[in-house]
Amino acid sequence: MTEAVEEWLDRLKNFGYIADTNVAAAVHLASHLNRPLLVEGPAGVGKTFLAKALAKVTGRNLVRLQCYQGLDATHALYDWDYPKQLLTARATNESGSFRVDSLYTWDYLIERPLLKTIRMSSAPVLLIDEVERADEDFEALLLELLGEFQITIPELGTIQATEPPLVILTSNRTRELSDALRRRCLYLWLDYPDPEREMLIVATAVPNLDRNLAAQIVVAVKKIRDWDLIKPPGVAESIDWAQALALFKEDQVTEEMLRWSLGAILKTREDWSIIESHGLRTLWQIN
Amino acid sequence: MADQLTIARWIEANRRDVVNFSRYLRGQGFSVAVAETIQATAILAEQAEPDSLATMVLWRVIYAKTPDQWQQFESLFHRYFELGSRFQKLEASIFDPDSTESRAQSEPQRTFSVGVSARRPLLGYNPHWGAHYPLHPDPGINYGRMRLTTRVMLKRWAFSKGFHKQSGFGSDRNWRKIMFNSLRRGGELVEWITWGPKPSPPRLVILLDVSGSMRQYAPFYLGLAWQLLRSDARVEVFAASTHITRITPRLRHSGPLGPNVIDTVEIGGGTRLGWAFFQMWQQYRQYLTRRTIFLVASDGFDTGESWRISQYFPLISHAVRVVYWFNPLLLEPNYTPRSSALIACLPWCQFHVGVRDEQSWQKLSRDVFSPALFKKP
Repeated sequence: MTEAVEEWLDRLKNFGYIADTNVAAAVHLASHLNRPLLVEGPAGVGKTFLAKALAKVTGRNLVRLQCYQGLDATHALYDWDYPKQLLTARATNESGSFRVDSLYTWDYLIERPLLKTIRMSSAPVLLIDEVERADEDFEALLLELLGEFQITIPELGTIQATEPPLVILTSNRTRELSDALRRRCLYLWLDYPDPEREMLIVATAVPNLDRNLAAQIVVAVKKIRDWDLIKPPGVAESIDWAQALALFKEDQVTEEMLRWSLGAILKTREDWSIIESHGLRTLWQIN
Repeated sequence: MADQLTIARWIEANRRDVVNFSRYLRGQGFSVAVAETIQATAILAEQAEPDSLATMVLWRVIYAKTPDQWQQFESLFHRYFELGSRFQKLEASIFDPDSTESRAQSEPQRTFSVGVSARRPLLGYNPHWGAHYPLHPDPGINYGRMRLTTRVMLKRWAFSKGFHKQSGFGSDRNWRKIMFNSLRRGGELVEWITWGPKPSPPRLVILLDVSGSMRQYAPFYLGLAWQLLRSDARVEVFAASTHITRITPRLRHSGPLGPNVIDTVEIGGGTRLGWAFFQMWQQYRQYLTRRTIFLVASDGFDTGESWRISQYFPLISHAVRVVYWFNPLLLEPNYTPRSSALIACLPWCQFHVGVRDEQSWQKLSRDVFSPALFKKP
């Protein structure tokens, strides 16, 4: 593996993100080629955390845009301050020196996260989280930003980023993204980590956890993922569970402790019944 | 190790062939633009000592754009850089002992699937036919090309009679946006904004016959079901042999090179369509509604009790909106459906069509509402 990739592995590890070579290679290329990185994968595998870790590693600010249905340009890019424009128009109209152009200047523009990112003097890490939740129209809005790192405001012209931000887009694949968006991004598929790496992640996140207990948690979570749950637990859930079990401060995990703590990884009643049908003893070696 | 060295030498000597690799990937359904080729070349040029593993990992980030492309890339990379020959030999020994090496080389796209089969065989076992065959979406299909057809088909289904949403989604006013815009413009009512027409996505229930007689066609149907699953339609997929298994979640997490869709121990040999329909009616009745399009992919060769088919298939047909029977043999010249299962079922199917590959699927999307195709039950 190239030295640069190894270096990214170490840098991410130093800030608590246990990456594999695929992640390190993707991050290296995104920063090296100045291309946005589209990260897809199941929920809870660390897509959002990757952006946070990158912000820490590179010492940049993190600008986060959480996508949702109905998100549009006025909430993501910019909006005109209409009340202010109206008041100014009334005031200046009385004095007789009113010009319409004077109402479309930076004074009346409200910057939203994407425009703010472009105008920041030191380029931040821009996290566009769960991009598939936004409408397809919003994807089209992003194309100019992702392709050219610029935003065009018809009244003011094109605003180009002085330094390209490091853009991370995440998606849980509840909807297919357009080919145009994919074409503008580098791609990373982030799957559940292998048991060794997951154990390392859990141990890093919960340092006071017993090593054997961490191993048992990872094995149990892996079993659960194979049981076709509605919401299979991700790494985030493994960490939550580990934290919950660590709170008991007991050497041996009892059946009651398991039942109390399983809420950290099971999120629906149907999933509970699947676990019940398999039996807790199948999940965990209880003494 | 020797293979890696071979690749390293090859890359060093033939950097300009990155262009050919891009062209090769386009043939495999990747959308490779000039920008990707330039970036891949730049990455290769930056490596002082090109290493096959590092090159593969870095290029995958550049070239792959979807999860299935991400999974396929490693195999394609190795195959392109002359590591596929050992898989070709393996294929010959595993799947067809009589096949010659020349035949294996004449079908290069098979190498790709065998590369995966060699690591983790995805095989179904059928004692009746004594055959093993892969039970995962066919990696030989050009999904990029087929996606357009599938989209057209879904749109046609969505816009077909009975699938439009009633009021609330037609020409209704979008009051939220109207008020929002008028407030932003100082209280003036400036424009009427309406909701666009939004047909509800079709609901599909797919029953795939994965018995030995469907060996040749099941991977395509699994691929089609997998692609339909990735659309916005509500899709439920069942595999049928001696009983039915709901494979929707597994297919969702699978792909052309993904994990097992059906375990070898789960699936029995032979076809018992009557039992499958009975189970479907008893166990999964909630999926069979007036909005459901029921797709059956089978050649109709049945080893079970035909009285069950006569009893339960009409019930299913009445419960759902429309029944399509995809029969791969219908494309054979001079074929007439004579099996007892088909004779019992066809009167209750609105469409009996020959679909077994990309071309026939495309043809169906063109002809789906032609009067010639539609038959009254």
